[in-house]
Amino acid sequence: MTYTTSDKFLNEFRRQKKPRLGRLFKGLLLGLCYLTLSVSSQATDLSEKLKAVYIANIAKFVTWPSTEKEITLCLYSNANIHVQSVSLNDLPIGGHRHLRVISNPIDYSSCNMMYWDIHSIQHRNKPPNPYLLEISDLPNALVLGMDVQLRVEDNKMRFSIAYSRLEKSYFSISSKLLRLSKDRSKP
Amino acid sequence: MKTKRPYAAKNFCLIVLALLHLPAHAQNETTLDQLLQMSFEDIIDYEVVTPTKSGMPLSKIPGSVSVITYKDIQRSAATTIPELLRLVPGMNVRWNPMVQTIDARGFGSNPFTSKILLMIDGVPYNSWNKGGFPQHPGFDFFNLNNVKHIEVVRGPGSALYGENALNGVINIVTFSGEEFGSTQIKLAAGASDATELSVTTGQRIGNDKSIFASFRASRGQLPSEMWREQDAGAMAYDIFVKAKFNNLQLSYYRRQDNFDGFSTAVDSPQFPVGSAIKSAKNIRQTVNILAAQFNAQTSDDRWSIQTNTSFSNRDGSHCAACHAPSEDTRFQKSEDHGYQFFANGQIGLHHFDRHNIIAGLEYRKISAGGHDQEFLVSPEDEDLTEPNDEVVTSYNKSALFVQDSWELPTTNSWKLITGLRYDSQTSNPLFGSDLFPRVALVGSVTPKLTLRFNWSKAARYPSFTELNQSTGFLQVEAPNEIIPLADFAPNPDLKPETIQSREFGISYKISDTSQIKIDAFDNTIEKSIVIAYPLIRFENHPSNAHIQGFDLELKSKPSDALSLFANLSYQKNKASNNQTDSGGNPLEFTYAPKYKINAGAYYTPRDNLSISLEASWRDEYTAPSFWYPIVFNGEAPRPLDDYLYLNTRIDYKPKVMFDANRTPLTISLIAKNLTNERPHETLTGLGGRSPGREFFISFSYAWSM
Repeated sequence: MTYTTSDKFLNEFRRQKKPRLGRLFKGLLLGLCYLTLSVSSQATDLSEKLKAVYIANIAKFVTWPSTEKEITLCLYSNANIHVQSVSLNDLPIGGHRHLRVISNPIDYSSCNMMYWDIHSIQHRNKPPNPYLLEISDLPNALVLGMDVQLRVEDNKMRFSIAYSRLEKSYFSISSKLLRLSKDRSKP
Repeated sequence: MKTKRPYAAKNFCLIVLALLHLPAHAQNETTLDQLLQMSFEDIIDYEVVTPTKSGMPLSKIPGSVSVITYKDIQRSAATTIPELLRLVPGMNVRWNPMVQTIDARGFGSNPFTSKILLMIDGVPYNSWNKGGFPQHPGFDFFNLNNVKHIEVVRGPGSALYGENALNGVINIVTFSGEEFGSTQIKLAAGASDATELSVTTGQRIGNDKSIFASFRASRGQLPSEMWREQDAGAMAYDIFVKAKFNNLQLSYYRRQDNFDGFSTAVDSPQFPVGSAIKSAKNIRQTVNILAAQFNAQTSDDRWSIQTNTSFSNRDGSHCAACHAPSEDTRFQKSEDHGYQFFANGQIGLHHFDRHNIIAGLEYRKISAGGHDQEFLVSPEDEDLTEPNDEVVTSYNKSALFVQDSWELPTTNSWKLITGLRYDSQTSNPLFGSDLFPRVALVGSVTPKLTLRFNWSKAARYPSFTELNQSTGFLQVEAPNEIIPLADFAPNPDLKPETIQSREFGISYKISDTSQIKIDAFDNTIEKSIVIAYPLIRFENHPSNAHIQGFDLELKSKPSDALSLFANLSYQKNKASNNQTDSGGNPLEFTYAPKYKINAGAYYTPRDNLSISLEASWRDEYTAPSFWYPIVFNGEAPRPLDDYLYLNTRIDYKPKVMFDANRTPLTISLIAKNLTNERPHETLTGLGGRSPGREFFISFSYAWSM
C-alpha cells in the first residue's frame, strides 16, 4: 500500500493559520493568570479540612468540668489547619456550647483544646495539663503525651485516644467517641 | 476528517469567559461547611484522597475508581508501578519485548500505543510520538519511592482529560518534601543480577517551602526471556526533584536507560541458516519532564484555581536500533524523538447554591521530533537518509472543558454530574474537532448503599507512529544479505477510535471493616485501531466492538493485624458484524482474558514484622492469529494458557539497641511468581515468555532530621 499526499493537501497545510480557538485560548489564559494573581490565596487540601472537622466533632463528645458555654480551641497560626480552624469559631457543638478559636495563645490557661502539628510543635514547652485536651497529627503524638492522634489510614482519617492519659485528666470523653476510636483505629 | 466548528468554539469560549467573570465564590471540592454538616460516622468514612480534577470522595465518584495508597505500596510485593496495577480490579498489565502495556476493559495487539491516559501529578505522560509510554523498552518507568498514591479510573475519561483517556486514566501522585519528611537509603539485589541503589529525601524548609528529591541507579534485565537468555543488561538512572513554594510546585524528572543490546537467532525455514535479528549495542534513551503547578484557594474556601504547565522531551536511539542490522550506523546515533508542551488551567466555582462547577482550558503542542527516518511516505522508498517533509509530525490543539456537580434539591444524598469537553481541530490538520460529553448520577439509598450511573464518550487519537510508521528498519541480518522482515505501511488517513460507555456501580458497606463494590459496564468501540496483518498497517477496523462486563471488589479488615482484598473482573467481547480489515482479518479480541482475579492478604503479627501474599490470575486469552504459525511452528491459532502470579513479601524491622521504639532499618524479602509460571504475556516472533520465579532482598534505612 502506498500513500501520496496531494498538492492540495500540502498547500492547505502550508497556508494553515493558527486556529481561532488558539488565539482565544491565549486570551483566556491571560484572564486566568489575572484571576490567579488577584486571589488572596491560601493553599489547602481535603485532609486539612477533615482534621478541622474532626476537632469540632471530638469537642462534641468531650465534657470539661467547668460549666462554660464556650469551649476554646487554641492553635498556632503556622499550623497547617489554621485557616480551616479559624472558620470553626462560633460553631455550635451541642449542649448549648459553641467553639471559640484562639490563635497563638500566650498561655494555655484559657484553652480547652490544643492542636499541634509539625509546624507548631516547636511552641510546646509546657508539661501536659490535665484540663487541656491535646490533639496532634504527629506520628509520635501519643508518645509525646498528647491525648488524641489524627492519622490517615486506608485513605481515611482515623484517630487514636491515649487511654492511660484519660484516667489522669479532668475532662471526660463520651463512650461513643471511645467506641468510634476503638472500632476504627489501631491501638 | 471532521469540519471545523468555529462558531461553536466561539460560543463555548464566551460561556467560559462569562463563568470566569462571575463574582468569585467557588471551589472544586467539598467545602468545610459541607463536611461540618455531616455526622461524625460519615466523616470517619470520608476519603482523604480524592481523584484529581473531580474533587469528590471516592464513594461518590460516578465511575469506577481505585486508589493505591502509600500503605498499599509499602506492604505490596510489587516493586514497580505496572506490577502494582496488576492488582487493581479490571486492569490488564502485560509485557512485550518492546514496551509494557497497561489496559482496562480493552483488547488489542498494538505494541506501542496505550489506551489509558497515564499522568504524573496531573501531567500527561503518554509518549507524544507513540502514544504509549515514552521509554521503550522499559518496564519500571517511574521510581516507586516518589509515589504517595496512585489514582486509577476505569472507563472513559475524555470529558475531563481529553485524548487517550479511552479506557481509563491513571494519575501518579508524588510526595512533597514536607509529606516525606525523612531521608531513606535503599539497597536491593536479586534475580537476573538485579541491583539497585536509591536515595530519597524530603524536608520542609521554613513555613511554606519544601523540597523532595530522589536518585536511583539500577541494573538488571527486562522481564522477558529474550533479554534474560542473552544476559542483556538494562542500566537505568533516574532523578526526581520537586520543590514547593507556598502554592507553587516545580518538578523535574529525568530518566536515562542504557541497554546492552541483543542478537536473537531467527529459527525459521523462510530464512537462511545463521539469520538473526540484532540490535545495535549500547542503546540509549533519555526522557526529561519539567512541570510547574499552581494551586490556590480563597481563604473563605469559596473558589479555587489550578494550573499545570509541563515540557517533556525524549532523546535516544531509533526504535530501529532494536531490530535493524547492528552495523547500520544510522540507527546507532541518538536523535531528538520529539517533545510535548502542555498547559492546563481550571477554576472551581461554587457560586450557585448546590452546584460545584469546574471550568478549564487546555493547550498542547506535540512533535514527533527529528527521527523522520522511521516515518516514510511509501514502503517502496528506499532512501532512508532524506528527511520526509510531507509527513505531518507535529500539531497544536486547544480544549475547553466544564463539569457541574449538582446536588439535587429533593435530597442531599444524590448528585447529577454533567460534563462536556470541546477539543479543537489540530492546527496541522490531522484531526477534526470533537465533543466529549458525560452524564452521571450518584447517590446513597441508605447510609451503607451507594449507587452510580454513568454515560460518557471518549476518543483516542492515533499516534504519529500509527499514522506514519514505515518498514525500512525492520530487517533480518542473514550471513550475506539483509532481508526485510515484513512490509509495514503508513496510514495517514487513520481516524481516532471512539468509545461510548454506560456504567452502573454499587458500593455496599457490609460492616465497619468490610466493603463490597460492583461496577458493571457496557462499552461500544467504533473505529478500533488494529494492525492489519500480514501487511502490518494500522487501520480503523470496520466492525464495532461491543464489550460488556463487571468488576467485583471486596475489602475486609477482620482484625487490626489482618487485611484482605479480592477482586474479580469479567468481560464479554463481541463484534458488531463480520466485516474484515484490508488483510482479511475479522475484529480479533486479542489479549482480553474473559476473567481476571486478584487476591491479597496482609498480616502484621508484630509491630516490626509484616507478611504479604498476593495472587493474580488471568484466564486464557488469544493473540493475533498472524503470530501462531511463526511462534508455534505452524500451529493453528488457539487460546494461550491461563496463568497465576503468586508473590510474597516479608518485612522485618529490627529494633535498635537501647531504644526499642526506633526501627530505622527495614529488611524486605520479596518472592515473585512463586509457582514459576512462564506465560506468553504477549506473543511475538521473539522470545516473549515471562522469566519465571524471582527472589529479591532489600535493605532500607530511614531517618528524620
